[in-house]
Amino acid sequence: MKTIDPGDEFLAVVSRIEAERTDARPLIEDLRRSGELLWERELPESWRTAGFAMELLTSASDVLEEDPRKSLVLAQLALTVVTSIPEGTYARPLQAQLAGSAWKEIGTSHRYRSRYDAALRAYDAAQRCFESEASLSHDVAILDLNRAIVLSDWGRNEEAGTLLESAVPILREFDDRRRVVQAQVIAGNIRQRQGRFAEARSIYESALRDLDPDDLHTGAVLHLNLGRAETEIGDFHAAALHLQRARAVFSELSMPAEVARTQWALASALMRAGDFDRAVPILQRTRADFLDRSMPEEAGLAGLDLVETMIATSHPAEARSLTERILEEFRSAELNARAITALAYLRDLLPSARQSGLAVRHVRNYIEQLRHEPSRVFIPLPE
Amino acid sequence: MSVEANIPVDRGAALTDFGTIYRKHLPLLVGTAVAHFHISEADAEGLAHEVFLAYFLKAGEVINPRAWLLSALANASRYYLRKQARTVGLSHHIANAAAEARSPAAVLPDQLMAREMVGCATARCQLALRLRYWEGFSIPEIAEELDTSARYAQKLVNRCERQARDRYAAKEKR
Repeated sequence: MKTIDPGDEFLAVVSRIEAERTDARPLIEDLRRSGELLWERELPESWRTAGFAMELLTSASDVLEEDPRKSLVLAQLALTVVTSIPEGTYARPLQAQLAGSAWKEIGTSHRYRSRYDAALRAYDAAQRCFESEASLSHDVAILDLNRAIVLSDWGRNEEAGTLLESAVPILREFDDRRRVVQAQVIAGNIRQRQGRFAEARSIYESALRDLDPDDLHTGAVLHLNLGRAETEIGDFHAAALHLQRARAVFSELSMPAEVARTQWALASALMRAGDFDRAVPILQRTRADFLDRSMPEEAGLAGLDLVETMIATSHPAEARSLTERILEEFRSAELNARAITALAYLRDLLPSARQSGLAVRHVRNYIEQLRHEPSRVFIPLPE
Repeated sequence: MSVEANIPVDRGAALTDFGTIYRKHLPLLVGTAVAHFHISEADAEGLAHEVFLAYFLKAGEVINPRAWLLSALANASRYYLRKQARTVGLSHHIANAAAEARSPAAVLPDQLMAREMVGCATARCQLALRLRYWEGFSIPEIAEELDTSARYAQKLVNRCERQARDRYAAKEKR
């Protein structure tokens, strides 16, 4: 009797999964186009495959930049598919890795929408999946990196630093140079948030030197961050050069949300340099972009930059009306109630305040801080 | 700004190379697990295959397959040895009872114990029930996950419990 080589058997499983992926692609393409995700139906048996889940995850990742809400829904569907695959269909580590990857994608979609609690909850669920299997230590380290991004965005810098310290040696072990550089970027972000701009600049410059030349995305992120650090340091010429390079690469990579963020940073540099005429149209486009992408918090903050320019150029009525619109957007997106209170304060203050520009910056900074410290109390400016 | 820790994957290249990389590295991985971690050859082969499966999902993003596979194997071997050390001395009866107690399924209502039962529900209900009973999400957390109000989330979970029960019962009758 002929015995089956375990290697052949293993490769046959891999080929089967790849065939499932091929079958899934047109179906998922249809789902993406029609927007219908069949949530109200029982999942067809033919969908309950590892290949289908993998393709859904790929789609979730593909649309993340453009539409984080859609990415979330696709990742949730992937999770539902993975967990409805009958036990024993595939090796357990594969199902754990897929479920963990679905949770990771869910977490990242939440992060893009500034829902940090939900993001961390999803990453915790991903960790439970990854840690249940021996072979997924790289996934655990990547997850720690993702978590560090959320925590640093949230201002929980010490926790973010601890996670980076534990993740980097494992990433090095896997020769994952890209993510090691990404960890440097996060470390630079932490310094930047602490107002240590020169230190941040030097970390970014060092990361640029370590960067794999093929890693265009991280390179663009580094230029964007360098642009922001230079703006704070006051070297607007250097800032503009870095930001233009970042914008060019993000455009080349078809990453519209990042292009919008870079434009926003460029507008901020122009504002800081006092060039409001050039800053305003950029801010208007950026704000519209964020609104189209269901990113109300970013849209609101870019809007407050516009309010500041309107005040600086003596257009108080427009400034008040825009503040009112931002307030409505925050309300309908059910963003932090404290941010809504601060915006209402600004709206009521604007027609009469003597130091309106200062009030706008005060509220804007507060809303930005709320992203890191959601329970921070709003204190109005002294009368 | 932060970076995205997801790295784009070149899936086409990944699959073309997978068979070659597998054949080339399998003996190395099994040999490493046996020689360095003193794991039996049969278990070493199992571990190596788990590592290859993990690699399969991310092959397109790995710059250095050999380093990646060896690191994954080393970590998997250490995990395996830790697990072995923990389970030594426990009778099957105790180990099974402990595993059952740890399982979130142990706290599910009777009607929802079976994964199969949940599998009969709609996709939305499967997700809601998974969040509630497997992941232990509270109702407000489910509401946040599904972009809805807590009130609707509570209704949804109740409706989905009924739906899963009824559909499963109907399926059993058939």
